[in-house]
Amino acid sequence: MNTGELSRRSFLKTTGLAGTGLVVGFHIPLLEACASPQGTGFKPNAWIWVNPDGLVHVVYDEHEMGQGSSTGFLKIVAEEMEASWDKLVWEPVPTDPSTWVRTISTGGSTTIRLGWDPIRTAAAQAREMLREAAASRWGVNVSECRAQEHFIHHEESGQSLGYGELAVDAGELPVPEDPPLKDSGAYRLVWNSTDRLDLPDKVRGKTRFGIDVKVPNMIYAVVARPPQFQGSVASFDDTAARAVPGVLDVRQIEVGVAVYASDTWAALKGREALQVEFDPGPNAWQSTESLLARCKELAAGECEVQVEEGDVDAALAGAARTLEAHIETGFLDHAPMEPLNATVHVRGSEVEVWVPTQSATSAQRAAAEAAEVEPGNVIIHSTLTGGGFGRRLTPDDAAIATMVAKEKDVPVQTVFTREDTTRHGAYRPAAYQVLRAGLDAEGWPVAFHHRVTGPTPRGLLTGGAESPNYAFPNFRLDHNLEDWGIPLGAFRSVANPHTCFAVETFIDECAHAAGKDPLEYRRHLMRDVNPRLLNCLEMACERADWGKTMGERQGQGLASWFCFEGYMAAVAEVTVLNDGTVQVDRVVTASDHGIIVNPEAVRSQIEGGIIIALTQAMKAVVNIQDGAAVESNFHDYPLMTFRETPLIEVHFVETMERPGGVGEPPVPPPPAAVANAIFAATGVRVRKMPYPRDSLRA
Amino acid sequence: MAVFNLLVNGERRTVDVPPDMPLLWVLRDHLDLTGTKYSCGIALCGSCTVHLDGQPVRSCATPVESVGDRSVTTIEGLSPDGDHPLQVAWLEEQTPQCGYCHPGYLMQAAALLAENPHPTDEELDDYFAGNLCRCGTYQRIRKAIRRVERGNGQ
Repeated sequence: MNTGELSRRSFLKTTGLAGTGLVVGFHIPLLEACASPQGTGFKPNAWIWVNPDGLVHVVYDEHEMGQGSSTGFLKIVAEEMEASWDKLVWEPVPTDPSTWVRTISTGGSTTIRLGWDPIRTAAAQAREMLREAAASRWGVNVSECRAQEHFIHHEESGQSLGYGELAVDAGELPVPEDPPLKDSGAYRLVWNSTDRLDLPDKVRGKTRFGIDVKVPNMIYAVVARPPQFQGSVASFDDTAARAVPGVLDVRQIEVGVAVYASDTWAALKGREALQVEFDPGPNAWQSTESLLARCKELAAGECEVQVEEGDVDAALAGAARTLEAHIETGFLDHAPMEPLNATVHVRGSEVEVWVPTQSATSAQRAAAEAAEVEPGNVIIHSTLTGGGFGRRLTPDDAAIATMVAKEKDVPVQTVFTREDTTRHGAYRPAAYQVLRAGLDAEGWPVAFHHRVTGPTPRGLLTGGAESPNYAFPNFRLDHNLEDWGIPLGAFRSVANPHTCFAVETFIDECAHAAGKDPLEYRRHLMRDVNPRLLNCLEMACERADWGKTMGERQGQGLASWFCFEGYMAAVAEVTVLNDGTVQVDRVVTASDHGIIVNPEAVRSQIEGGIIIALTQAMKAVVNIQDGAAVESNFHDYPLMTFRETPLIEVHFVETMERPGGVGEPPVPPPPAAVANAIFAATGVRVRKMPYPRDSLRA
Repeated sequence: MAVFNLLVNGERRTVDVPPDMPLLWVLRDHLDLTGTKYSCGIALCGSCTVHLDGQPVRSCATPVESVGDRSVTTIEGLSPDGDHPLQVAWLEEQTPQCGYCHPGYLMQAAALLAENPHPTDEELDDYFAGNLCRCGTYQRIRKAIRRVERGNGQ
């Protein structure tokens, strides 16, 4: 059986769409390591379907959460296929992840960079099949048939046929294995900006996010949960709650007490009236202070070595001078503007879920476990999300909403309030890092030791620190981590924001200790290790006029980082007010993401990445007290505001290298660049996020 | 419970709800006008902004009984075809990312420009002090408003 037949069969089976016309399936790997080209065992997870009506439907499993990758994905199809941009149709994420050939999960800045080759190949296959179909219809040589703007043209005879007219014939042809790819010099869409497909509905209030889902006979629920992550319900009295007009029922579920009502407001009022006693569980000893003290013990204890190059101890012992810095960063909540929610209908052994998730597979598994059914019995409708940032990779929303809904035979929409969302997060972990450097007589590093302590798992703590962008003759990364029972998850750029903050402020400290300009110092250490990153740094410094004269209590700072296949440098300019307030006046970035499919959308990602980074640098943190999160809403978990937004200038390295990541790379450098600018402005070295304002008073 | 006869986006709508129910939930749960968003619930983020007689209010902190005869306008009613100059400018600047908070920004901005067509930067800062965007689209919001001020397309 050829791949064309395989493709069509699996397309029909897993999408439920009618597959008349031309169907080309392709496979997008989840991670770089899993790349499996077509051929034996060909298992498509994406399709291009040319319908006889001429529309080109693109089916794939990546989620749109405002990053704009859906538009980018379709642009690549249109570019390579020579299709009309207005004929592309973006299909929703498939609803049964259990039959899918990979985990459905959108994260890691992967959609475009891992899709690039498979998408182009599949679109080129479709184009070649359409050309073949036209050639045989006209009885001419295929080499005389040219694809352009949704038509195949034959110059000599002046004939043209539309893609729709050719779709059925083309669908009968074998899929060419090695279609020629378009020359990058001929790109008309890639590297040019295209309006995003998701925006018209968004400015009209028409987009249905998860929380906007309405299904017939639906009721609403909220859940009273113990403040402690490991807490449980000891007892409850629901008399007053049941007396609230609109409250339909109160039930204890696995994680708390659910209040069911005819609308959201009644559910909230019912929960307010509910009397619940909670058992705090085993971790009530935890506080921000006790966990920091615990980290200091871990840092002084025996650490596990993750990377060791050379002999760090000997080099440190022989160094002309040594420097040491301790870096503290706290727990962070993603705080998406759309609070967590899910709507679930449990019908016996069948479950239907509407949820704004980044991972339909995780949501399906979580709902299946909660409902005690097989994953294949759970239908997942992935809605658009009002912000993801990694929060919606953790499926506690689908799990809890299913626990709530299985008590009822009607659909139940469970809403997590802002307070519920903030206090039961999937936090970026707090970390305590110890950095030590040994410098030679000229101030160049001979040894660099990076130690990370905090909670497990390691991937959320040490990521990004494994391979420095600088030439360190002796280098060690080690860690000492333990399970704290605090819910953690991936937050945009994962561990990189705190590892970058530590390394990029400390290397600045080394430069100053060496009496060298921070750019010059980095240039010397980076040029043989990461020239693409250095190129960004040079570009950002040039555009920002690095080294220009600044006013009193003003300064410039720089930082750069490489992660998720994206190279990013930032220069920040700050004014530190006499009361210690840091005003970020300007941020200039230069970045290299390889080929950029949709520059305006990428620019937007970088602007937003800077804002989310500055929020963690200057404003928001989740503290722990008595084993529970202290912060609850935007008054105590404040976000960057309109007024505080600096002038942002985004520059790209124009290149035809293959696409890299976009969503995550802009987040790590800004906090370090600003901290370095604060040092330039005040002489005070900031080693904590959020920055301690008291130490910055005049 | 009490019956309220509201004028929403030019139409008379009758709801039977508790008098203290915030307008937000009346719009969302009872009238299926879901463009008005719940995010903080305590008037800290502006996602739920609607107009009462043209004035921007946080619908999450506006009990339905306080609406009275005032005319309610939501994002769905901001313009007949989604072509209010701000909506056009928002698209020109490719402003939203996730888009969840933007109905609130658009309603806030529309009320401002109706009253003050040429706000200073400082006035904009003040006017948007109560609106939050987690995606960080602030710079584009400012540009989009300036675009309207100049007349779209320039």
